[in-house]
Amino acid sequence: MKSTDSLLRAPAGAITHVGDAARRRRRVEETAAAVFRGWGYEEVLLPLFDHAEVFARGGGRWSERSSYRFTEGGDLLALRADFTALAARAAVTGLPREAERLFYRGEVVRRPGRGLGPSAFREVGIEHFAAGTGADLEILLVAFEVLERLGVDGFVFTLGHAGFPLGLLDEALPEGPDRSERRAEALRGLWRRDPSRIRGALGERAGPLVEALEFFGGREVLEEARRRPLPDGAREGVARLSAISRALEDLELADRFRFDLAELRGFDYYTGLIFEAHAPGAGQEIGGGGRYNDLLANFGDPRPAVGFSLSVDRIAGILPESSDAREGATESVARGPDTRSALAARFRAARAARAAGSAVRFEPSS
Amino acid sequence: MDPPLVAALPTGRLLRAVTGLLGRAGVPLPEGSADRRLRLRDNGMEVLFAKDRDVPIYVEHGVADFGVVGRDILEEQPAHIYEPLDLGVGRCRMVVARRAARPLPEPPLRLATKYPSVTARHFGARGVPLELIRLSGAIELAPAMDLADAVVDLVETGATLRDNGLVEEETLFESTARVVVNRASFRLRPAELQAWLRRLEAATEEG
Repeated sequence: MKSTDSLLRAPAGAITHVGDAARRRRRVEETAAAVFRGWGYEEVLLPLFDHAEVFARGGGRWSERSSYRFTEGGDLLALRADFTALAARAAVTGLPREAERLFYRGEVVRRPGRGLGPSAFREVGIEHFAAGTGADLEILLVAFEVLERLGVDGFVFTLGHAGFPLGLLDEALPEGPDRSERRAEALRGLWRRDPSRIRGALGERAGPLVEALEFFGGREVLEEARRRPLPDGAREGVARLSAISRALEDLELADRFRFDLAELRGFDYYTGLIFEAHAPGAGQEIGGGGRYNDLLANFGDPRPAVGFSLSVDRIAGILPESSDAREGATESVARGPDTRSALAARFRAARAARAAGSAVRFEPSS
Repeated sequence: MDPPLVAALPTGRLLRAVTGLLGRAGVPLPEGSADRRLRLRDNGMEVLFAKDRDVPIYVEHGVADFGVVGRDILEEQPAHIYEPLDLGVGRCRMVVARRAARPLPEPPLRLATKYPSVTARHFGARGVPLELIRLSGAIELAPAMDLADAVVDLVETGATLRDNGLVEEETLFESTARVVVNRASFRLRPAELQAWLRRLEAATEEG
């Protein structure tokens, strides 16, 4: 009875959404797509699989072990584990150079880590292949507009800049054969906000990086940081964030933004702005992104890039109750005898009603 | 009105080690050993008691805003959470131990452990081929009964190892109780969390 068994048992992580759960997810995707188009972003439909190496080149954001990999004709392929890598490859190999604002929506799949969590995640996001504070500000405002239009309550953005912690880290790293090991350990300390790990990696030179963990709060942390002696990369990071902070004040949005000068989001591939969005009830970040100017260079094209992704599943889970119930409901029912003339009349009436924007469901006569 | 902050605390050995410190900081705790409740609410905080290996899971998913767990668990099953404070109590060592009477044989080694990731990472980094035997407890039995050449385990005093004819070959790391924090809570309720972190830090200094 093996075959019956596998029909009844879904493998761990394979999840079906229907009804309200499905409608909420689609609402997030459709609202995001409308906002992205409103900012001049072009949708790109990306493949469901590619060479495994493409995902590794896309920043190694997801460990190779977490992708579903298989061989085909001698090539090692992987199911889509990340959109950014695919968008970068498309931008370099398949799109006209004018296509510098792209958006995507869909699922990525990753092998469940510990436990039996979901293995497919819905994401929407954008990539913008441009440099400058204007482009940085733009992605923040695009993400902000999506969350605002969806009515997500109490969301907060936290901004950082890779140049700050990485500049301090590079200055603190002693030369020597174990430099890269120490760097990796200090990064793990930063990712976990664990001062003891940073001290373990950098010894007596750890001070400024440990202090960076305290640069968390409103724009006053930028002022405080600026008063410290800083290496060039760190100083540049603070200057960039200050420019963004001033723009957000001019736009009267500053109360939704905070700064965290130690945040790297657990990655080592951001080169400039880093941000994360959080909202009450979500438990984990609902989105995030930043600048990764080495991204396209990994595919042979040294253009700068900035972008973000939002978690459709997590946002759908905290959307306020609104018109969801109505959205899925049928507005009227066409009921009647199934005779030849009655069927034709019902069909015509229903077609006219649908053309006028209503939903009509056919029911057999009772 | 925000709901109370939720803290996840480990049951068992580590809870006993941190009880004094948490009490000084004002964290609600069980009333004596007969108190079997898994959730307590007091002092503007809800506390839940979980198996130590589950604490990082509650915190990562945001079910708990923060928690207390040993470094041994965080090394074995890394979670995407913050670890801002070392409480300095519950001190143990993660060690490789072998039979006193017999040096480690040439690789491949047979290792018994409750910590397969830590073990594989440690020996993998040195290119030592391993056969890993995953056990749930009483690890000292494995070399004594010839199930394994050595064990990787957390020891406090080393008395259990000695009593079972084992000696420590090597220390992998020291483990103490850590405060772990959910990344979203850190962003969304920074003032309350920072206040608790300061109280906990102050309590470590009083101890």
